[in-house]
Amino acid sequence: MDRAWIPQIDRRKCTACGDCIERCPTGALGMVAGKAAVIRPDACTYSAICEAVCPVGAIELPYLIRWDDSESDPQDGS
Amino acid sequence: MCMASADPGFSLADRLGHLPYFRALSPARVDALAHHAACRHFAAQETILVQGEHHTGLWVIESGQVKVFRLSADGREHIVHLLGSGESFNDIPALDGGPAAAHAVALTPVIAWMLPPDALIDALRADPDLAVAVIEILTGRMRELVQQIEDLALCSVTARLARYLLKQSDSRAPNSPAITRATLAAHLATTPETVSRALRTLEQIDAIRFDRHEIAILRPDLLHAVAMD
Repeated sequence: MDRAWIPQIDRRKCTACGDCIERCPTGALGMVAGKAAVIRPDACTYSAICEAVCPVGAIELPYLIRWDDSESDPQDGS
Repeated sequence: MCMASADPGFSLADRLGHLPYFRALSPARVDALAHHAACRHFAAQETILVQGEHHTGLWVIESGQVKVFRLSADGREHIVHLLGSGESFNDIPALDGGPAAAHAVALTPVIAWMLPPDALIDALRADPDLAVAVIEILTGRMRELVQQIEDLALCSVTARLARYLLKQSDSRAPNSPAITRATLAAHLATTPETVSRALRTLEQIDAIRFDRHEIAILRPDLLHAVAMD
């Protein structure tokens, strides 16, 4: 699937309060043309803090649900 | 409206032939059916269908993600289906000619094909195996809806989430749509905050693991136990 796995910011909802930029632990977010934007996508660690702090629900993180084949041993309770 | 796919490797006949509806049809019949279909492109967030309006035809997604949902009187959204490449929607109106049972919106850029009801009905009349396949699919959908009603009425959000994740693991679809907390919340009839708490609960018991943008299902047996709560 060809897509960027970065926070999706709805520019129409964004009020430019800057909370997400301030709280992002890796500095992946910044202000572009008066709205929050992912300015360093490689730095994003998907902490989801931006999504949680956005007061207007303008930020969403898309997830892919997948089966984990590497350690799905039902007998292993660890 | 375009008549050809944007992807030269895409074959509508191939894609239709893999849909549960049309598996019973011979390749020649599927090919004939595909000739009646028309292609449309939708931008992300563009509306495809409006609930209550008459949109005839069976839609088949070539690429992209489609959200099928209903809106309550106070504007709350309940997602009925999240669909991806090769899946179909507007099945019921395509067969009974009635209004759309739900809204459909493109979540990403979408290329989709619309099969007119006349072509579908003609194919059903010509092929009893196809008619049986359609009955099986519709009865399966009815069972799913009854299950959804039970889930909403009787199960906790964590149990509903576990069931949803199990369904994903059952299908093991290679191109399953990406999902956000808000989308999950709309699907499970709850809030994103409650979904976050439920996800954390499942992570704490090691049923799932967050791996950056992936939610890895580690222990379907544990999910199953939670889903039965």
